[in-house]
Amino acid sequence: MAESLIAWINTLALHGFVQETQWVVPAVQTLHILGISVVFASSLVLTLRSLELVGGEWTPARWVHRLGGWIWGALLLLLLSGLLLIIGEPGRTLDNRVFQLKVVLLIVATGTALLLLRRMGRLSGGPSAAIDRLLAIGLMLLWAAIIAAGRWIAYS
Amino acid sequence: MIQSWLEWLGSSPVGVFMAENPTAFPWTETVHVLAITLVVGVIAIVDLRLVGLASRGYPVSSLTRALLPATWIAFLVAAVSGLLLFASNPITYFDNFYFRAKMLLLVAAGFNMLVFHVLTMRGIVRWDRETRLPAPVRVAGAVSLLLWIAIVACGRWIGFTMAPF
Repeated sequence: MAESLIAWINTLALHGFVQETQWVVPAVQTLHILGISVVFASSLVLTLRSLELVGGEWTPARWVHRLGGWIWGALLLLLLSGLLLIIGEPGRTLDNRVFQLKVVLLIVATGTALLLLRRMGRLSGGPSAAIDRLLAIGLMLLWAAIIAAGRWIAYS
Repeated sequence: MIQSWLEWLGSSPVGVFMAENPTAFPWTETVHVLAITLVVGVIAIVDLRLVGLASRGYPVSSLTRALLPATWIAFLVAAVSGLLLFASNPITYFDNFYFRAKMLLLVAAGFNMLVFHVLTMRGIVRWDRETRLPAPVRVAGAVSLLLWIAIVACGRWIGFTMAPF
């Protein structure tokens, strides 16, 4: 299945464009890293807020209101830029164990983020529940693992 | 002088280890990416507040105080891991245009931050809670955002213009 998909992508005009135009891959990777910056740093602030270490002048709900849209917007940018990188090198990504692990982790992280933002989005004050702190820390670890996997695709 | 220092670094135990150990480079790169995404992302939250695009209801002083410690820790990790990557092949990195550009942009970002903290923040009591900040403050935020985007781009372009591995 993966092989026929890879073979099909290799016939696309977009594949040829990404392969042959020198600046496309570094430019798309730059956007990809900027997207990761938004998601990772926003999650860090939400995590530190749930641990009551920073951002005490706003309720958790207000922080979710501030950062939630940026997180989902950046994830969309990551999906699109990631797709473009896959189209450029389908064989090195789709058929790669580390890439497959990254996709699984990404699905888990997205679910965790949805749950955390939904729960924190209802908190207008008071200490966060233990489960929220756990979700927040877990989300940071998941993003870190996803970023690490992304870097290791190139080496595996 | 620089040339002999570069040669010394490259042939030092750390330089040899970074060049020869098969997993040292990718692991250090991983740490570098984790750190730099945090640096850029957290600084962007402050910059967007300064420019007036987000967090407009949050006092500037509280925001910087809350987020700067995490930024500094992440920056330190990025700098140390970056130096280790550099040690794997100092002469080639030093000759790379995008590496030089990245270093200059980092100095510019540091200078911009210094000016902001030493001069612009002097009058902060007057605008700390304003939604629309004075022009010098907005300029500092915009310059910082653009510099960090360019720094990330240069970092990525280094990998495509020298690719030692």
